[in-house]
Amino acid sequence: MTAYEYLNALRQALEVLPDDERVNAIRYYEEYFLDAGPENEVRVISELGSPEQVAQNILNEYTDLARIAPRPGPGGEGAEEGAPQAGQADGGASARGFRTGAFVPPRRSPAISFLAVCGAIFLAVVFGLPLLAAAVATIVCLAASALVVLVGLAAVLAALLVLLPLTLIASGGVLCVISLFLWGVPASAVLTLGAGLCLLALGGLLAVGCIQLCAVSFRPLLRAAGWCVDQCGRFFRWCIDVVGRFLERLKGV
Amino acid sequence: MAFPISAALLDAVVLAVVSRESTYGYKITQDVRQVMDISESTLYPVLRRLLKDGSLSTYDQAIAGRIRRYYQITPAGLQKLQAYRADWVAYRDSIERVLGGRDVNDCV
Repeated sequence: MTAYEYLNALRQALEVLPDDERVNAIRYYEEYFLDAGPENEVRVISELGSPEQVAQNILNEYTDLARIAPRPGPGGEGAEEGAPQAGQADGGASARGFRTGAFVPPRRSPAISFLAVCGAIFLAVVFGLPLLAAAVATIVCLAASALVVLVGLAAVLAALLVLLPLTLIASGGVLCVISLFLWGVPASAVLTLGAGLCLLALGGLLAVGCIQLCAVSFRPLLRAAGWCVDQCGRFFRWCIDVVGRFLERLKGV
Repeated sequence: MAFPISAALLDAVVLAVVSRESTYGYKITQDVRQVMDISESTLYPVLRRLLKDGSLSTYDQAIAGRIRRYYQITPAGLQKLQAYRADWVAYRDSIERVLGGRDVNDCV
């Protein structure tokens, strides 16, 4: 690492500071390198420690100033009036530290981060997995019941298409046969025969219509079924893709 | 070293070093490092703190084709240094009394 790279890293590590503070700090270390001389560059870098460490020292001092800022300064006059003027009495130094200190984000120790990660993994295993399993089970169940309903509807439709014409034809035939025994009262016999023939005709018409309908809709139905299978396949491929990407990201972390 | 360096002691030494002559960051660090075991990165926060509380001030001066920032002590800094000196003498004497190897009753 050269002095130039070192100063750049330091500048980045001090990003949270207000501009003038950061410029002052960078300038100090810039001059430090210049005064140490290029022949000492490597030694100075190794003795300074990492840019992050140096930045941490500066930020620590910064938060300390922020903490003592509300106290009355040494130049404060009255006990009551001293407090609000403390910042000015200090030459604005601690007041500035206090105001700008808000920019410094709270630092978490590595131990706490580690504990948080462990806790998250534990929660994920204890609550997340069952939840995930339940969600998957729910989706599968819903899909299955939807399929069953669809199949049932199709079956009822098919039954209606087949049964209705058959019933009509059968009842028409029965009426015709019955009319044979009613010639004692010709009017009712004719009426019954007419009704039976009507039913027969209606049944035949429906049967023809059904056969025609089946013939016409066979190809589109096949095509629709194929489309459904296709979509399911795509959905599964998508799921596998998502899981794969998730696993890769986990590996990356 | 077994004895930790307190922030006050560091402030006092830096004030003493700067009070001898106007000087700059690198030289202050080297001077302090001759008497105290501190890392090179310790000094900037100290100088910044002393600047903020008005004990030190800076001025820029051209030197060898560039600008160097010099630190000098202010009257307030001198007062603070006097107070530190008095505290140090009292502290040193009282510690010396028990730790110096002489009998406690010898020096009253």
